[in-house]
Amino acid sequence: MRIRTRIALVATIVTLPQLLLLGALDQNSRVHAAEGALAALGEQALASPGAEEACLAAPNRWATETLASVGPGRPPAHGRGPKPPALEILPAVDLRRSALSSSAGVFARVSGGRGSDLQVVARTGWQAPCDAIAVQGDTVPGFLGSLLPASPTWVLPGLLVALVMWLAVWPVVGRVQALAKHVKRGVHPLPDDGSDEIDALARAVNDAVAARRRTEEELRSFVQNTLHDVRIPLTVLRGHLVRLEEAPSTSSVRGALQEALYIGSLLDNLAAHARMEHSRRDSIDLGGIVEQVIRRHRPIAARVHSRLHHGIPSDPVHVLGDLTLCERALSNLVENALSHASGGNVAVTLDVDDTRFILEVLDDGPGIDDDELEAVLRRGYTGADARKRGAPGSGLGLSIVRQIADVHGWQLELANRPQGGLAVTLRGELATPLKDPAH
Amino acid sequence: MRVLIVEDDDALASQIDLQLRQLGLTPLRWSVGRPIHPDYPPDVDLVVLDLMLPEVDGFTVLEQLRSVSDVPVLVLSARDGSDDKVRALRLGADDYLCKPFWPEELRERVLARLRRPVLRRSEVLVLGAISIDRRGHRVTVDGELLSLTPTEHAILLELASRPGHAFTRRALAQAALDPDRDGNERSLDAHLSRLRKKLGTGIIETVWGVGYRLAGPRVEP
Repeated sequence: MRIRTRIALVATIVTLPQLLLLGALDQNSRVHAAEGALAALGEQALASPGAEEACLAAPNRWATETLASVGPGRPPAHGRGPKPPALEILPAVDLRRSALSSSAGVFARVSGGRGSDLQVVARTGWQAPCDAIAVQGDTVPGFLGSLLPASPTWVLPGLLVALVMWLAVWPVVGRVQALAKHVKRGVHPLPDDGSDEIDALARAVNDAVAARRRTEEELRSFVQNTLHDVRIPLTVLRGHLVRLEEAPSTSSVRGALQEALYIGSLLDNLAAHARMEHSRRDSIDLGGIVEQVIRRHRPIAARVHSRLHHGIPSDPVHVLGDLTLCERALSNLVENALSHASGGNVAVTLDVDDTRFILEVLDDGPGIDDDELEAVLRRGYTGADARKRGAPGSGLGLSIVRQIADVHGWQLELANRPQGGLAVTLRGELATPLKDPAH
Repeated sequence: MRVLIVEDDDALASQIDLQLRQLGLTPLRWSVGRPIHPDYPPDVDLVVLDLMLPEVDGFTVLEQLRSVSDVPVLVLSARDGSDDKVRALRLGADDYLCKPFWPEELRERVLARLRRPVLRRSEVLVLGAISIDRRGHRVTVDGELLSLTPTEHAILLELASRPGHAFTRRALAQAALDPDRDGNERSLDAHLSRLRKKLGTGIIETVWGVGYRLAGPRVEP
């Protein structure tokens, strides 16, 4: 249901019963006031001197003369106020006996009078036909006992309030509709220079769209950079294969394999980057991941004449993480270590304490200059030594590791080992603490 | 030993077939997914199963196979997402390999699944003249009881619990050292040095960057 329709309906549902209630209260009040007035007239009639004798002698004349002496007088000039009450002597057959109290002089209202709005009756305690009298009149809006004015203009303020409400909402709904049109047309930023809630909504939408665009731009830039990075090894690979076509050569085969490996790694990192925002949280065994990655890289280590070692606990080490991203992070670290420690040693160790794991990748390569330890975690950055030695790499792997660590809430540290080489350490929480602190 | 290859890509299946034959194995091939009859599960020692299969998909084959057989299953997947891997492992796959993969990687995974335990889980481990009774907590050299301190004993038994596996220094210290009496990780090297002198050379090996390992047939993943 549209907002305007809803507001109109609510205003009607709230206002109408109130108006009806006011009307009913007003009517009720007038009836009671008129009752009282008519009963008072009746009492005065009964109390006037010689009333009984005069009534018994000539009931109709008594009623007329008594009314003339005790009645409310002339009706108001403009017709406002009750009709002059009629004082009647009721014959026995007309008595509204159900309304009559047993006590004399007690007036009670009879519902639906004879040709009038209101009639009160009472026993007189005299002999028939004067044993009961009735006094009848009517109520007039705005007069005796009224809560509301006679003229129905009193409903106007209520209707006016409802109209004002609806008019106040009209521009608000209009602004919301305009916002929706802007969003649909892709207009950005939305106008948000005011200070009310609609402007706050527009600002929130602007911020969300800006964040989304930044993410998309980063991904676009990443994809472009990676595609650019892939073209180079692809070109080198082609060169090796062409040379192989001309003459078999072990060095060309090795070179081709190396470029193929590098291209695969680039594509894996591209896939990992795309997964970051939609990563899963499963209970995974880090020890199993270490073994997977070691298996995958043994052939590669053999090719570069490096030795690959690992040590993991006997029991599974469960953490909450994305299986593919965790494998990619560790693969990147091992590949990075193998490329820098060519001909040397690379070790992966996994340790645990009560609540945390420590995953380390060590190598005995040249390490990284201390002032570059942070910079190498940025995409595209290659350390000075790697550049000097022409070690393969686009500076992508470590930046992906950093992103994966951030996504999982893990701490990543790089440090040069005192014995030489680099130590990369990942620390994080276990999925299930090993010991219950309560025991 | 027989290996069932369930792979619809003929070129890849042929490559895998060739690699397995080079290992001395006997491959069988299915080019589509087939329902597994509960009374006639495949009579093989290993299944190499692609997930994206025509007719019956790989997950269904895996699920049906697991309900009637414990044969090791190595899953191949072209989709790198964690969803497939996690689902396959939960359905009972023993290992997974993402395409593209290196031939050596496939070879290692297959051998790992087919390898029989090199070391029997016996109570007494014999390494040359050294005999380690894991149950009786006794270490002898040529039948003579070796005098070891409680800490040296604890370290040796911890290493002997998984012969061939590398233990990190931290893990050894946590398992074998009493911090109040023996110190911590830093003092581990001193304890190990004394232990090595008593055992002789070649029993305890240093693993670069990791820690130590009891010598013997290396146990690879």
